Amino acid sequence: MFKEERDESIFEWGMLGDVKLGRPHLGEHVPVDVYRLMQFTLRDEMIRILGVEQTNQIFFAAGKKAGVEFVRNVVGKQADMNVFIEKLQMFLKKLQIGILRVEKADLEHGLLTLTVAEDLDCSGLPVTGEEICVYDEGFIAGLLLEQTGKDFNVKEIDCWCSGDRVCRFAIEPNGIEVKG
Amino acid sequence: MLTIEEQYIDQLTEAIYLLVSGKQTQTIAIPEDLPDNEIRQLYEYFNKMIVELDKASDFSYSLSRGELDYEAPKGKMVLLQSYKNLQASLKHLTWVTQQIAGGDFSHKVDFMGDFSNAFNEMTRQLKEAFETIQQQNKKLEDANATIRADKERIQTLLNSILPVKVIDELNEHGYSAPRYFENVTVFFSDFVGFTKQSSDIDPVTLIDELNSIFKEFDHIVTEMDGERIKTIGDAFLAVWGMHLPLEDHAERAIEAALRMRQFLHKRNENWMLKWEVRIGLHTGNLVGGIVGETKFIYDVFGDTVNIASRMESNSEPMKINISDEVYALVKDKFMTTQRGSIFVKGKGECGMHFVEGRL
Repeated sequence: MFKEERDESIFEWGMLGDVKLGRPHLGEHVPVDVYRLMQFTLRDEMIRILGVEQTNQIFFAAGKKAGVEFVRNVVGKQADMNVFIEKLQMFLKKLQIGILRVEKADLEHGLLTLTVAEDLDCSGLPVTGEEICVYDEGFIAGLLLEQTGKDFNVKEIDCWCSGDRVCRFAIEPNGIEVKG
Repeated sequence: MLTIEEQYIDQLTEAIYLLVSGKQTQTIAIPEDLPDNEIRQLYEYFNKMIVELDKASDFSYSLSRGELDYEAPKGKMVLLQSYKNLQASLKHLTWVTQQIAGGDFSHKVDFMGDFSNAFNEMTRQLKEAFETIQQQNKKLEDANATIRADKERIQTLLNSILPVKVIDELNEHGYSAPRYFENVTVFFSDFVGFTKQSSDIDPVTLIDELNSIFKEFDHIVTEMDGERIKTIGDAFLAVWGMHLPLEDHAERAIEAALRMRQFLHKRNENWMLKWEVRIGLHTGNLVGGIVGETKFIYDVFGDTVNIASRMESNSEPMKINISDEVYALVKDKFMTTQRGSIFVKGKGECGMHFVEGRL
């Protein structure tokens, strides 16, 4: 399940296991530093071995998979987009992933500008002039894919690392309707 | 050791003085021959700071005017970043406010200090007020529906008591004046042996019988464009050609009488209680109007009514007795048998005819 070779994704939510059962004393929460330690060291090695572009593709794809599973197992698909956004905000806050806000929403044309404050990946990082939240781009794309059945282009246009205080994502439809 | 000329210190001092005095500050021109040392570095960084401050000032000015679409400048200064954070928060608030304005009160604002509390409290109160208004509207709608239903019931009741034109006059003027009607046909019917038979039947069954027969009589009268005026016990009074002028009022009245007789024949074949009627008709003029105040009915008066009643009482069981006046109007339409006359006070002899059927 965890280490075998594969050509197709086999991740499923059940693979996260029962953390309550496994950590009766240490509990279900860890500091953000620990999460970032894992992510950034992983990113560092991947870039070293595979290069930036391929690493970004992997992070985006992983984030997208996570986004899809997050809707299926946590948020739930909603009948109305506004209700979906509201529930998403609630869960992202509850799980301390970030503070999701909407700056612009043209639902008719599928155009959105979302911000995530206190983002798990980047808030408090040094300002380097980069937008680094590729995993989050994929995550948001996955959320919207599962909710709407449509593929979206998600691009981070502002990041803590680029000098902003929120991560800002510009979202537009990809023009491809995904079936199944 | 670094040597610095006084003019360089003065330039910096002046620029900083203008900055803190709220005045526009330009970047300092760096002399080309200034060596690449700490002074040059200081000037370069100072100029960068001026440029960033200018951008931040323009940005904050646009925010203060509510121009949320102003493109935030790039930069690393904390001041600029804070303004950008403020702009992001304001944009989000704008969107939330639009959702609330659209009737969606489920949105909350978080992590904006006192403003969050105030905004969320305002939303809660708006939601309560909206729900209260909705409940009141619902009550109003229900009350209106009840009023409409009551009004329809009253109208139906009135329609069963008064002619439509009389109701219209009452609604429009508050009263309905008696009217004189020329050339109308009056119909009277009466059950044969009703008094005797009614003493043998329980009251509920009697009322059911009358109701069942008169309902069909009403239906026939309406079908033939007549107006049922009233029932008096087992007597039935209707008029043709009154509020609805009809050239063939007499013919229609007789046709109604034939249908009523046919209905009774058929009913008697299939029902344990057998009823027979006497029917009488007369054509002439009469006066119609509302009688009474607290409990009123619409009634008709005049010799025509009295003679029609005499026609009925001088008829025979299951026979339709018409006067000369009616006969004159329908002799080409119906088979009749002449049968003598009766003396009517103030009128003299009045000929009578039985209607046998259609020609």
